[in-house]
Amino acid sequence: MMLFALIILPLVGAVLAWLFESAIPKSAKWISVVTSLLGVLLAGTLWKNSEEWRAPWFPQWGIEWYFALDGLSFVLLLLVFVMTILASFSVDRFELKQPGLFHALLLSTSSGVIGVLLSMDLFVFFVFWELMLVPVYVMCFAWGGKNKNFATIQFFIMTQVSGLFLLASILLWVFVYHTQTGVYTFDYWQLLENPLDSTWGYWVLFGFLVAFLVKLPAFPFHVWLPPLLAEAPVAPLLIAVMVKTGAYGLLRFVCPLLEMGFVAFTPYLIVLGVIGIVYGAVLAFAQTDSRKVLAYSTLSHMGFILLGILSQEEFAFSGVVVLLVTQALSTGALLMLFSHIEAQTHELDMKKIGGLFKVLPSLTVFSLILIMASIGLPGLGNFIGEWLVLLGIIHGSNVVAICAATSLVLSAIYSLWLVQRLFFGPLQGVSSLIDLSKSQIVIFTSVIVLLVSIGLYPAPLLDIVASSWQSEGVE
Amino acid sequence: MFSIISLLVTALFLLLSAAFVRSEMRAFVFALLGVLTSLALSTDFESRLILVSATVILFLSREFLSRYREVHEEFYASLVISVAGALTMIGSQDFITFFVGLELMTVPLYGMIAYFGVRERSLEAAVKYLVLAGISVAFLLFGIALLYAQLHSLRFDMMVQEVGNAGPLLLMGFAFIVVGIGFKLSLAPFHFWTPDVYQGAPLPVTAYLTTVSKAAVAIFFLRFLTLFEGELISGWYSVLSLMAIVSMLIGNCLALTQKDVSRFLAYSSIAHMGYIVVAFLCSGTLRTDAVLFYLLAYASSSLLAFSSIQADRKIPLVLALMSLMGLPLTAGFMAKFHILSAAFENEQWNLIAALIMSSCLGVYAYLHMALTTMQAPAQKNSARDPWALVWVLALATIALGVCPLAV
Repeated sequence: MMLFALIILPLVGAVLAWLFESAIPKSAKWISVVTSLLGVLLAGTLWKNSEEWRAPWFPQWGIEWYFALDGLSFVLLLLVFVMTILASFSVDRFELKQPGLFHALLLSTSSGVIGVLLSMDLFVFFVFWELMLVPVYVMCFAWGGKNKNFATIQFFIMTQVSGLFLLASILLWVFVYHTQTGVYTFDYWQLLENPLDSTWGYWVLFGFLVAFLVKLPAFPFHVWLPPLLAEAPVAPLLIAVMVKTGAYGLLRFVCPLLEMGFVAFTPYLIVLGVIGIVYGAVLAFAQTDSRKVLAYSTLSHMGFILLGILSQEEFAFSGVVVLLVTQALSTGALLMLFSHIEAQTHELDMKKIGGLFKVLPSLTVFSLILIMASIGLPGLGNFIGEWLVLLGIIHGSNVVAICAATSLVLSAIYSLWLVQRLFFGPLQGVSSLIDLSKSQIVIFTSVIVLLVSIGLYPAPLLDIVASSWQSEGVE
Repeated sequence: MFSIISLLVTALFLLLSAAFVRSEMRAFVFALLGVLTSLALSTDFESRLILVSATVILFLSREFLSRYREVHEEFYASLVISVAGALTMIGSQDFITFFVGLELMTVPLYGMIAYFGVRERSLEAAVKYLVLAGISVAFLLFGIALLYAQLHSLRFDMMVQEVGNAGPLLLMGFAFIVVGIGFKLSLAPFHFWTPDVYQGAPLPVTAYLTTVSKAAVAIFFLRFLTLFEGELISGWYSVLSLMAIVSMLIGNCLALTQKDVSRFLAYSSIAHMGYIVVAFLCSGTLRTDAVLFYLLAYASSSLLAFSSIQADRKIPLVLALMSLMGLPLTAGFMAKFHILSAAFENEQWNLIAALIMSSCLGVYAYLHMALTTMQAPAQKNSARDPWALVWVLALATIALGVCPLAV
């Protein structure tokens, strides 16, 4: 029951935020923050008890509300709550119309993502997978920037179409299981017990892969990400709260299938990963809009993560999760910093503005630290993740590891180029800007503290994550 | 049976009372009472589905007709008679009853579509429907005649016994019947009447065409297929599946460019009928469940769409469009899920692939229409909008999505 409460909690907060905003201005943000903090506490207590929860829904199909919490879900869950808190603070500077509705939708998105992270019944997973996007669509349409129609429609179509493939895969798996055992069930662990024979297995894998690769995003399904990230003020939320579900899906659902032996796709996926790394990096270097630099840098890092997932090594999986967490924190926080700039200048094009260090000193400092994090500077969390992933990949293949390691070099190139153009150099395009407020400094400092603590003392995080590999029996 | 009688009695009362004193309110109340009595007397799920849809349409018509100054007893009477025809058709056990029911359902529709004639440019739609329905009914009759020639009976139970020793004209008879039914269900390639009629007819009549008319024919066809399981199916399976695939793809493709909501809903209904035929082509118990639930979900989403168009409310319309598209937690998603499950069970891979492809196309089509709706300027609506109705239907759509009753 309490796991279901974890999903319902943000929804309750959403309703409260919407209702209270008209009565007490600015309350929506605090309601959202408090709800997320409560969620963190609730998740922490539930983790001690290591629960699962079942309730019947459609017994004739074997569908039930089945939620379970393990290390992987727990870590990503905490990440969702933290990013929701960050996102609530990030929209301060914008003059949002109807902020109550905005925060309500933000909380609904996090509720949907939590549903995705917790559900172990494939039907419920699919329902939440589709539903978590609905508030995102509404937010993009209502509060998007100049190009919102095109960006949102493209995102909608790509995710819905990939969702249809996911549905077909799920149904195929369920019906193959039914023909072999005569039982209808959508329970994931039960379905895994029955080995799929090769033709069906590849179709099932195909559907899952399409859905998760679009969400990751992986080359060539990444086209929705850059335009969408340019839509302020929604941008930080997307990359932070929602995008990690693609990697989660791959870890949770695709890895066991790969273990069953359906590895024919793996070489092609490795190629896609490597192309993603290089392509993302090259394009990131070429962008003039700072947010698009971050979008392509995400693509590049996700290519790296894809390679980590494909290596099928426990080290790499832990590294992937660490990377997900730290990359969400660092890139999300960077996007929020950029939003702060954009709220005042309405412009993030580096041809038009530059040399911001002179007017925004504290923002520049934070940006620099976060950029160092995303490059993978030792001492910050991302380095741990990258190192573990490379360790895992080298076990499998040296060549792939070399290609993956290029990501470290390339990310340094485009990130430093971004910093140079945006923050250093001659001041242009702006006169005087408001720097970060005290509360924002506190928030970004806490993000950096988190990153540093993961970087210097990753053991707790790694232990929590590793427990889920052991229980799954991944070798 | 009694439900039909009560409906016909109501219609009779309505028309007779109109001879004495004309009153819109009395006509509406009579019609409503008649339909509700009929609902109380009805015994099976299919009749109830049709009667509940008819009730909703009655309310819609009341609101729609209140915008015009004359009294419209004939409209209510035609509606009631048409529903009686629909019930006759789905309850029929032989072809004569079926035919009488079909005509009883269709002929008042000619009048209802043309009701506002030149004023609302419905005449073109009505003439198209009349001519094409007439031609398709002629095909249907000829098919029935061929079946009679082969099977020596018009009663379904006796026909089934004779099927084994029938000649080649059986398949041809069946083909003609499929033509007739395909027209009524607006399957490709018999779908050309749908957009023009949907656009030209008054809104409640369009709603009636979408829900009751198609549902009744679909239910009859379902019963027919269940009876003639096996013998006839193998013969025309490929034809029906081709029709289904083409309908699904054409419906959603052509919907992509529409700007008018009624035409859009017409094309979407072509696609949805394609989905239902996919369910028809499966065998076993899953088929009945899938088809009936699909009809229920489709009726609820369409009625929601039409009533929100009439009430000029955008959000319920977007909800209806999302339900028709198949967003999870709506009725339309559960319906598609049922059909996909039935198709997977029967291993109809071509149909599944076509369904998925057309749903992908549909995603963009419905999204585009939803966006156009949301971004259209708000219009002043003078009449009393049936907002209660709209919200009830919206709830029903979501409820069906969350906890569909075992059909």
